[in-house]
Amino acid sequence: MNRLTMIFLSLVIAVAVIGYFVGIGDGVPQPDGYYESSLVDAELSRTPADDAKLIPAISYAEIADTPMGPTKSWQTMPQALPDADYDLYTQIEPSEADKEASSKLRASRRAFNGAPPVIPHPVENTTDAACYACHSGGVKMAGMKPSVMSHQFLGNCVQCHAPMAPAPFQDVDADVATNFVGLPAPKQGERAYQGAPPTIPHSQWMRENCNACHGGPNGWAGMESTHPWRTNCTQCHAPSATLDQMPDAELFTPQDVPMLPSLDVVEN
Amino acid sequence: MMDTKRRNFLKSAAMAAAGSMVAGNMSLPVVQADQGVSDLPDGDGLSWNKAPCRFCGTGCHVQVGVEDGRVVAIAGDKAADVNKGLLCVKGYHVGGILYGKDRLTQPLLRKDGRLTEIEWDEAIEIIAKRIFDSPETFAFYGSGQWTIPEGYAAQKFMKGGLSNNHIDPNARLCMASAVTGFLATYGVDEPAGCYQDLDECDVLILWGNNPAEMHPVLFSRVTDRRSRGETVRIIDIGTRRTRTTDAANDYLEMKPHGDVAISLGIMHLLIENDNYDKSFVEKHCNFRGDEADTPTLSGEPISEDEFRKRIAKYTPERVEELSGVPADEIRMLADLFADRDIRITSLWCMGMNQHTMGTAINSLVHGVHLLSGHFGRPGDAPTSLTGQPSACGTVREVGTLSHALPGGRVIANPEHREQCEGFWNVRDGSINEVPGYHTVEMFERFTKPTAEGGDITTMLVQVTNPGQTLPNLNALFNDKKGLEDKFLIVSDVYPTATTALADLILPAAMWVEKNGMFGNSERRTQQWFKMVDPPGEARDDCWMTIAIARKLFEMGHEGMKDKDGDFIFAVKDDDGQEIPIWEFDRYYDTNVDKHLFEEYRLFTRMKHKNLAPYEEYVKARGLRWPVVEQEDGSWRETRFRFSGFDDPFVEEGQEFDFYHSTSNDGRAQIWFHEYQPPPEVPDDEYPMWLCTGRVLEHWHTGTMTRRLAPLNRAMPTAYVEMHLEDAKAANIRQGEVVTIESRRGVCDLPVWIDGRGRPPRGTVFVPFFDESKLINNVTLEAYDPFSKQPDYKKCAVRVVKKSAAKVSS
Amino acid sequence: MPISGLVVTFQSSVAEHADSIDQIADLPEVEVGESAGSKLAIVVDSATKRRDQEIWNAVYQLPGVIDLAVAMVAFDEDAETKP
Repeated sequence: MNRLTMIFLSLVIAVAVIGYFVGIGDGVPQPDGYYESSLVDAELSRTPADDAKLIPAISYAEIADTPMGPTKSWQTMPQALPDADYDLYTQIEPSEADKEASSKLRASRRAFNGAPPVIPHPVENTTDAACYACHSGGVKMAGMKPSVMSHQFLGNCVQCHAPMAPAPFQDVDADVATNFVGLPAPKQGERAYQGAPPTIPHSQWMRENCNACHGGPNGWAGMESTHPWRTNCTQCHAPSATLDQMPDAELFTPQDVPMLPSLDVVEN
Repeated sequence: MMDTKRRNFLKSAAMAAAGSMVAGNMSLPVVQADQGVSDLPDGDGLSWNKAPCRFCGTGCHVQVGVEDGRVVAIAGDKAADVNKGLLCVKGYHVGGILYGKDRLTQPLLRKDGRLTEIEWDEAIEIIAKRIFDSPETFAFYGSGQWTIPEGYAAQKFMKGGLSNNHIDPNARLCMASAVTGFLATYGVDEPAGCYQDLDECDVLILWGNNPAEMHPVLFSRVTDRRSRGETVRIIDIGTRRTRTTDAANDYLEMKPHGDVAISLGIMHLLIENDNYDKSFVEKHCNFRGDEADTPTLSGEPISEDEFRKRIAKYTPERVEELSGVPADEIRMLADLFADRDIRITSLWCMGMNQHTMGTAINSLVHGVHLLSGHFGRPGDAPTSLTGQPSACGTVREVGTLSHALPGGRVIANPEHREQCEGFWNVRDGSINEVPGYHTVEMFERFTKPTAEGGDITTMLVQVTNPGQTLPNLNALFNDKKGLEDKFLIVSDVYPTATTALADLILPAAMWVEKNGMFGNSERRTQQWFKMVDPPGEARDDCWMTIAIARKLFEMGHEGMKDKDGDFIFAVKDDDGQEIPIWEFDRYYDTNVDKHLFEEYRLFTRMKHKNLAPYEEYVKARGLRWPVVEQEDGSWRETRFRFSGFDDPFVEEGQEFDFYHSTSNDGRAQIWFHEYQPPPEVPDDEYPMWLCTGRVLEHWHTGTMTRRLAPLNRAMPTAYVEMHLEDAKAANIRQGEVVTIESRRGVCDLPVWIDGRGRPPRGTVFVPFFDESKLINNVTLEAYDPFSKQPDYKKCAVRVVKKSAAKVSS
Repeated sequence: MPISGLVVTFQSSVAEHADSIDQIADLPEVEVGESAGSKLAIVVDSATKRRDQEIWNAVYQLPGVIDLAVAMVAFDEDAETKP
C-alpha cells in the first residue's frame, strides 16, 4: 500500500516536472520580433571573445584580490591628451572619388533631387524624440553616422521621410515596376568666372542648416566645405530664386528690373 | 525565407554598390533610371507649375517640376496656405504615379474571355450603343477623384441628358454621413470653419481619427505649434492606439459605437450642470429629435425640456457602460466644453462616417459644439475631414449623388429640378423625379441576374476601384463574374481589382496629364493646367463622357439635344463655330474645363456656395467659397461661414446666422439620437472586432502608391494588427500568416503584433490598400439609414491559424 | 540572412594577388565582381550573420589584403556606414 503510494507520488512528481519543462519549452508562444530591436540584437549576439574592449565581469568574492584600474606599465607611459573631436580649422579637401561616392550614396536615398531622403532603416519607435536622439546634432556610433537634420525641428518625422519596411515584413517583395526618372542631383553650382564662389544648386527650403551636410563634425563625407571656419555661407554662395520659389522669379530678369529715371540735373 | 527574386535583386544591388566604388565611375546616378528613356533629365529646361496634390482631401499644393515632357520632381508649394511648403511622403512622390510600367494605354475589349486591343472609336461606339438600347438600365459610378468639370459633365450627361439618376460616387462609402450630418444640423453641407481653426484651438479632439497618418500635413500644423512653445491639448478618442495617440495628451479608448454615447454623455452633463452656453442656444439653436414612425433628415422639433428628458439617462456611469470610457473622462470632456474661455476644435473622418449611426454621430458632435457655444470663433469648430481630393468639390458641391443636383439641390424638390433644367436649357421634365440607386443598391442590382430583378445591365466606372473598396465584395462585386448580359466598363490608369472583371477597359489620363479642378475639405476650390501628355492612347475622363454623349447625339438620342437642338456639351469659338471637342485631337483647342466650370458656377449661388470666375483660380492657390466680388472688382474668400465677422451673407450686425436653417429661422439644430448597438457584435463563433482603414504610405486601394518605390518599400504588404495577448492565446507569432474569417468571406494576412497601431484585446485592424489581400471580402455591408454609407469599421471576425503543424516544427 | 557588397583593397595591384583571389572565389557564398587597381568588388550571400562574420574575418586575414570596406548590406543591416 505504502509502496503503491510512493510509486504514485513519484509518477505525479515526474509528470509535473516534465510538464513544467514542456511548459517553458516549445509550447509557449514567444512572438518573434516584439522585443527585438537592431541594437538589442547586436548586443545579444556579441560575445566577449569577439571584442577586446569587453572585459568579463568577476564575482564579488574575487574583487578584493583582483588588480583593477590602469596597469603599472600603462601608468608609466606618457599619455597624449585627446584631441578635440572636431577641429574647425582643419582643411578638408575631399577627392573627386570621395565626392562621387558621397553623391551616389546620397542619391540612392531619394526618388529625385529635392525629395526628402528615405530612412535607411526600419522605424520601430514612432516618437519624434527617438529620431531626434540621433539625428539632431548627429553622432558617431559603432561605425554608423546618422545624418544631421538640415531643417528646423518639425514634429512627425515619418510624415516626409519614408522608412524601410517594418521588421516583420522586411522580406516581402517590395519591387515596383516604374518608368519614373527623377531629377538627378546637381553636380555643382554655377560659377560666374573661374574661382568665383559657386551658387547653391539646390533649394534652401528644408536645407537651412548648411552644416548638416557641408560641415561640422557630422557632415557628409565628400560634401564638406573646404573652408569650415567661414560660417556665413550665403555671404558668398547665392541661392536660387527659382528653386526657392521666390515670387515670380522669372519676371525679374535683369532687363525687367525697373530702374530709377535718370536724374534731372539742371544745366547751366 | 526571403524569396529568390528579392535576393537576386539585393545581390545585384550589392554588386553595383561595390563595383561603383571599385571602378570610380564618374557619372552621377539618376535615381530609378530606366533604360527606355533616351533623354535623361539633367536639370536644364526644368519648369515648375502649381497643382493640388492628387491624393487626400487635405488639398496641399505641390510644385511640379517638368522637363522634356516628363514630371521629374515635386516640391511643396510655399505659396500655398494649406501646406505652407510642406508635404507628406505621398505628396513628395506624387510625380511617380504617372510612370508605373503597367499604365493602361489602349482601350481593351474582352472577347471570348480575353482582352483585345481596340480603337477608341470602336470603344465609344460600343458604349453608346449599349446606352442607346437601354438607357434606363445604365449606371455611372464615379468618385471624389473626379475633377469638378468631369463630375459636372457626368452629372449633366446622366440627369439632364439621359433622364437617368443612377449616378453615384465612391464618396458614398466615404463622406455621405458627413453630408447628412451637416444637412440635418445646418441645412447646408460642408464645414463652417477652416484649417485656421487648427492654428488657434487650445484643445483638439479627435473622434476616431488618425490624422498623424491620414492627414499628416494638418496634424503637423497642430503639433508644430507645440514645438514653437504653444500649448495644445490633444485628446484622442479611438478604438485603437495609433501614431496620433503618441502625440495626444489624453487617450480615451472606446468600444465601437462608443462615440455616440460619449457625445450624448457630454451634452447630458452640460445640461445637468447647467453650464451650457444659454445665450448661444437661445439665440441660434433649436432642439430636434427623430420622428416616431419614419425618421427623416429633418426630424421634428422638440422642446428643450423634452431634450433634457430624453438625454437624462446618459449619465457618465451609463456612458461608461456603453462606451468603455471611464465616467471621469466623460466629466473631463464636459468640463472642457463648459469652459468658454478655451477654443475647441473637433476633427473626424471615416471613424464617424463609416458608421451605421453615421448621420446621428455627425449631428451629435455638431450638437456638442453648438450646445456649448464652441462654434464659429477661430479655433472653435466641428470640422469633418475628407479622404479624397475632390470629395467636397465634385461630389458634395456638384452633387454627383443619386439623389442630388448641382449646387446643393435635390431631385426630390420639383423647384430644384426645374432650375437645373433651366440652367441646362433642356426640355421641361428632363430630370427624372425618382432618385437613382445609391452605391450599395446599384452594385446589388448590377451583380444580380437580370431575370431576378437586377435591373442595371451596363455600368461605367471612372476614377475608382469598387472591386477593392466595396464592402462584402463577394455579395456586391465578385458575383458579376459569369453574368453574360451584364457589361462593365472601367476607365482607369492601371489594372485593378475592378478591371479584372471589366468587359471594356478605357485607358485614362490622370492628374497633370489633363486640366483639372478639385475642392478640398475646407471649401477650397483649386485649379491646375495640363503639364505633360498622357501615355499612348490614354485620354481624359471628361472627354470620354462628352464623346459618348456626342455619339448618342449622332445616333439621335433626344436627350443629348438642348431646347435649341444643340448638343448639350456644345462649345463655340469666338465666331460662333462649334469646336468638335468630341474629337480628342481637338479637345485641347479650347479649355473645356473652363467652359464647364463657368456653366457650373451659375448653380452655386442658391446655397451661397458662390464660386469666382475660372481665371481667379488660375491665379490663386485655391479659394474658399463663398467667394464674393468686392467693390474694387477683387474676389474675397470666406474662412468662417455663418460668423458675422467673416461671412458676407450674414446680415450686418448679426453675430451668427444659419441662413439655410431647416427650420427657416436662422437657427442650427441640436439633435438627440438614441444610442444603438453596432449591427454585428462579436460572439462565441466570431469573437473579435475587425476595423479597417489606411496607413500613411498608401492611399486608398494603392493603385497609385503601390507603384512608388519609396512608399511600397516602406509598407510592402497589408497585415493584421493584433494585441500581444490575443496572439499568445492563439499561439500566433509575429509575421505568421493567418486567416481572418467572417460570416461573409475570408482574407489571409501576416500578423503584426503591436504594430504601427496597437488595438486593444479583442480587436484586430487591417488596412485595405493591398490588392492581393482583399479585406473587403470580410467586411459588412450594413449601412446608415440616412446616408446609405456602409460601416467598414466594425464587424465580427475570427482569426484562424493556417496550420497548427507549422509552429511545432 | 545578410547580403553584403564588399570592396577588398590589396597592398598592390589586384593582378599580383591571384592566390588570395582564388581563395576568395573558392568560398561558396562569395561572388567576385569587377576589379580595378588594387580594389576588388565581392558580394557575400551567407545564411547567418555569424557566417558572414566568419567570411569577413577570413578575407581580412588573407595575405595582401590591407582593407575591407562595406559598400552595401541588405536593408535590415543597412546604416550609414561610411565607405
